[in-house]
Amino acid sequence: MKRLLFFVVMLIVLAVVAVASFSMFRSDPETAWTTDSRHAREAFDMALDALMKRYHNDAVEHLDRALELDPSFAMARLYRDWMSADLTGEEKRANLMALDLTDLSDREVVLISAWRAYLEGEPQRARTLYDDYLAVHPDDPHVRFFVCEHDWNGLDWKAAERCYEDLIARHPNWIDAQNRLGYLALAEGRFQVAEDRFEAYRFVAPDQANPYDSLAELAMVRGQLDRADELLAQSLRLKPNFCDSLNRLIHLRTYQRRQDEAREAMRRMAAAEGCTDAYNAVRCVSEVRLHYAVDDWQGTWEAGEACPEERIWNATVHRAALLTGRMEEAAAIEQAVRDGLEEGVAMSPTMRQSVEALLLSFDGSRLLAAGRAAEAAQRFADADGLNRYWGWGQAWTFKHYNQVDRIVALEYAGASEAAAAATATLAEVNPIVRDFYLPGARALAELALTNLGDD
Amino acid sequence: MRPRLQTTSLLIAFGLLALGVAGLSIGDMLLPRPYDGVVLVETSDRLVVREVIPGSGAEQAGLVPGDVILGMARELVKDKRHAAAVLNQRFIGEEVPYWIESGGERQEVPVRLDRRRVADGSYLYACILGLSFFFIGLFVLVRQPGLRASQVFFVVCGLSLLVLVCRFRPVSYSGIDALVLRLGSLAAIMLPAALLHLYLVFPHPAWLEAVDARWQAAGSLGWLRAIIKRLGWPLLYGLPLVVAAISTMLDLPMAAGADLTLSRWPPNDWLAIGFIGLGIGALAGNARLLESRAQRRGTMVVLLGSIFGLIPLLVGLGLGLERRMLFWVGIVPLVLVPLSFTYAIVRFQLLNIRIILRRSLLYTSTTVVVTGAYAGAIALFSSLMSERNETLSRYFPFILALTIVLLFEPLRRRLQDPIDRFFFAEQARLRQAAMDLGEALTAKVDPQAVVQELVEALPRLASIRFAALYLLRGDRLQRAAGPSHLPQELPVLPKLQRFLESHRGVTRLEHLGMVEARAPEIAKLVRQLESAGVEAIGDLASRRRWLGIVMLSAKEGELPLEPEELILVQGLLHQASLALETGLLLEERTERIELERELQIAARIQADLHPGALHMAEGWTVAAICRPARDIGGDFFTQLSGPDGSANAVVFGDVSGKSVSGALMMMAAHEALHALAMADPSPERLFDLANRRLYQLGRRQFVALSYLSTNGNGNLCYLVAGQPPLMLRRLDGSVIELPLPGHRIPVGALPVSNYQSLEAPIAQGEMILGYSDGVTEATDPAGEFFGNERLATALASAGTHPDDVVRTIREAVDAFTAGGPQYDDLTLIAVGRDGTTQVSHQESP
Repeated sequence: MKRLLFFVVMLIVLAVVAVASFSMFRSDPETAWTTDSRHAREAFDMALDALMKRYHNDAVEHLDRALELDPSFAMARLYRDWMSADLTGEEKRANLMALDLTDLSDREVVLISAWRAYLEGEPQRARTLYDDYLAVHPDDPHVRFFVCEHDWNGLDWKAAERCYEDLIARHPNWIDAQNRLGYLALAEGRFQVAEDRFEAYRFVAPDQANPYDSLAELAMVRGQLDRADELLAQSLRLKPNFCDSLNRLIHLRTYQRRQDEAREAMRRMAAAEGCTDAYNAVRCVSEVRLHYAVDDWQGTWEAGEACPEERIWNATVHRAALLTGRMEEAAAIEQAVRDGLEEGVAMSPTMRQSVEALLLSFDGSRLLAAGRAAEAAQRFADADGLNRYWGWGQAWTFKHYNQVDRIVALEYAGASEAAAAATATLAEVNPIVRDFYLPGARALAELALTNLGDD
Repeated sequence: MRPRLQTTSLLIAFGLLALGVAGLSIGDMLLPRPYDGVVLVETSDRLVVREVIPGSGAEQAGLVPGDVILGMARELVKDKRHAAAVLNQRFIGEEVPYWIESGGERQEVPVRLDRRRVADGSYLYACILGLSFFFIGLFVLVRQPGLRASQVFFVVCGLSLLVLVCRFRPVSYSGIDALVLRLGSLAAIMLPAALLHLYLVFPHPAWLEAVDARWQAAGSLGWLRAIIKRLGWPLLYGLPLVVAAISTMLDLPMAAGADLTLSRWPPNDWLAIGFIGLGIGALAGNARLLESRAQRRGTMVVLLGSIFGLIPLLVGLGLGLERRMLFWVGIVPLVLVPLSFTYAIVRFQLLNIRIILRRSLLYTSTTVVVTGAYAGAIALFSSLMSERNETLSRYFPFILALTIVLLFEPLRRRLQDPIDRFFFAEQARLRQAAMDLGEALTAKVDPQAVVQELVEALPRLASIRFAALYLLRGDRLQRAAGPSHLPQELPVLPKLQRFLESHRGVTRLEHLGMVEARAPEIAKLVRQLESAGVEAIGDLASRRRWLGIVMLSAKEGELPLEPEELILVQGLLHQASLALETGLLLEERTERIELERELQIAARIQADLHPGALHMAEGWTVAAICRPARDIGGDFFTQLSGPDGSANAVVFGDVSGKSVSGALMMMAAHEALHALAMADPSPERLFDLANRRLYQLGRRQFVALSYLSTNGNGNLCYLVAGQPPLMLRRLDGSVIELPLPGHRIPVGALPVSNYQSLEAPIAQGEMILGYSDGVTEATDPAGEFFGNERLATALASAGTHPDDVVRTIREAVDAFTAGGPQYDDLTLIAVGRDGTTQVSHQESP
């Protein structure tokens, strides 16, 4: 019996040792980043972390460091090229195609192959590559994140939300997914969910600027301007050159009708290192918004006119045209948008919805200016059905703007109860925005009365 | 043997596994890990605070039961394992941020991590209870591995250990939580089935036997009986698993406070209640139907322990009591179950386990209790008086200490006596019976009576079916007492003998394995004895010798002998060995005394054979002595009729061999010489006839003879056969040896003979000396022979009378040997030519 007992005990000990050894020394070379330099791998991991934080400049530095340590580090090279402002698209494409996949891990091969597929205009092939890989490595967060990005970039937000949910169920601290889920919830008007997501993000990364920026945006959607102010201040304390927060600060100041501070914020953004492109992208819109905020329709039109590319997509510029009697210019803007929609500007379904909403808003404005308030209210209602709080363009701004238009249209159409209900609904989301957009909408309605009087 | 060994090994393996898992759980709890003081429960993918340990960091941070932990230490946690991994990366004393949802609000709170503690003591209690269960079960299994009841009892104890230690584990932050909780859950599912099984067969399945008998009588229910007999136990153990599996598949909700319930699903709880209820009913049936009163009483104790230990738990489960209440109401009373089993075993020898408690252990326990009582009293007194210390004298501690010292021993004794009476009553009775038997054995002097007493008393004392005793007779062991189905004789196997001698006790046959492996004949013997129902074997041996062996059967009901019983039997065998040795020595002593008496008679007869006076012829004087080395000897002298009728002959002889054989040969030679001398007195013819007669005896013994006589012309006529040459002391004092005849082979040595007598002229005053080799071969303390030269010197210096010669030579020999032992008979014959002399006869050695 003693022998049997000894055998059983030894068997248990051996099993425990084997399992422990397997657990301790198990490695998964198929999902590793391929480089001979441990420090290069560390630098690359830091670059990915910076990217997740949206610290692009830091990411570039880490990638440069990784490539300095290991010039043959394929993934570092790929990311660096992708983030480079110096390379042309063709050069990036050539570099991607030239990468040698030999000796790379499965993860690297599938990522590079998928990116090649995108460049070759075969996104479905990229998706197939991802799916095949995840069937074998379902817990790989990197590839799963790219799958989610595939849906996100394709603006298939339902699919993207499911994908991100799946990702954080496996890796709850993959904060980029938390952030994306927050915005997806925000887009749908699920503000509490969005706040929970952003708060989760902030809990995990309180040293990052981005979660505060996300929370600040949510606060602005909800009209909580003081909170947004504090959050943006925190964000910019953590990352003074954080372009997203600088942009949001301009918007906030505009919203607060603190013109000087808004212009100061614009100067700050313009001077911030690494924010030149971002500033250029938002400068015109910010200028337009600054004038509109103080009911300066002429200034609004002029600011928009200075940026012909952006103005056609901006409802306030269109309104400024109507309010300053530039009916033809307003019609030109409408036609340009309609042409863009019909003549093949590449648009995702959600973007198309937003553009359709913009056209409906244009119609509504013209009808309201023509004294056909009831019809205008219907147009604004239809546009509101297509608008989201987050997405393409100035989503939540436009949604609120359009809702205020509808309230005013209802008022002028004599539907005071409906107007009150709409006002209450809007106030639940944002109690202060009505006052912000009310002058513009009322001026439009008053324009109809003036025209009527003239007639 | 094999299946029993296999079952026991499997059970021990299960026990080791259970103990290992429990040890893992307890050890993990005791490891110094950071702990926030939160007991978590995982519901709907959320980590809900089930309990907050008082005084912990979580409590100080404001966490309350019902809060949801979303993240900790800057990580969002998805499950308990993840939370454990996060927490285990932190440090004791560190303050980490928690992100919680409390009252619908999400907030971040700082929580200080303390060293993990064993909850609020309830887990400690559960661990002690579980380990108590386990070790009681292990003890019972080791003592009675072949009993079904003890096997099932061990399974119950192992499962209880897993349930109490693993299922009631309160802390949620550990990597091994999943393992131990799953095993604990599995054990909780299986435990009610095992309990029912135990109660059905404990201590014997009397209840089942009664039901079985009724079913057999009913006849028509035979099919049901067959199904239950075949599928009963698999169904019993399989049903809870099936119910749990179905509950899981149907996604039935877990029981509220699932950590404390017997299982996790209400259907299993109800099944458990049913099983345990049935089991208690079966136990009650057993308590009523068992034959032995002691067994009925013991079973009744277990029944009461089970009712008061398990029913509160079942009621608590049924009422859905809150966790803390359920602990006090249901878990705490569980201790009654192992306590009742222990009491039943100690007090009533249930499962045929006899426990001999060490007195020192009880003494220590009593001392600890008394010390604890005093300590408690002092603490109470101090507590009561703490507010008025000013009233106490400074001598108070001294007086208190003195009081304790004075009262300690009397109180301890007052407690000890009843404890001794309670625990050792049965042991004392057994020991007294053994002592009585030992006294009875030692009082007997007849070995056969000792044997009978032992063989008859052992079965009574140790409750065994039979005992047998084999005693060593020559090179065989013969059955002296015992049942007839055992072999009449057994060979003496030296290896077995050595093994038994080296173990000096009673050995189970199964323990002869090592010897058995080396010796096929022992293996054969063991098989033979096993088939005859022998379980143990012991040796009977004194310090002087090996006496034999004792064989013991198993106990009634084929129960194995327990170690304490073997020790008791061993003590008895020692006493029996002493008694046997004494009896045998007494027998031997009696025989020796008888022999000595016979030898004394023989010596007297021998002495009487020597003639009172020796006479050869006119003018010749003869003196002789014969001193045997032992009581009886082989030397002799006698007087025969001489060849010419006018003179007598003196014959002296020395028989080869000593003691009895030599004496018998001497008698034979003596009688033959006398008888033959009457037929033909010539020395040659006499010697030839005596040679033929003694040779015909076929004893390969012979006689050295010398014959002395005179003839008509006054010469000495002599014949020497195998004796040393005669010595002649001449008138001038010189000593010569008389010539020897050509044929001088001792009489009786060869079948043919040709003896010739010689003559020698002897002058007046000359002296002839005949002697046996015992004279010249007498040795001094250095081992040197007396020799012919010293003999001749003594003869030369002796007086003129034959008596003087004999005395002088005897004294010379005695002086030479210096009182040392006499190795050979000593005979001296002195013949002088000048008259007749009465001679001394035989001397004592």
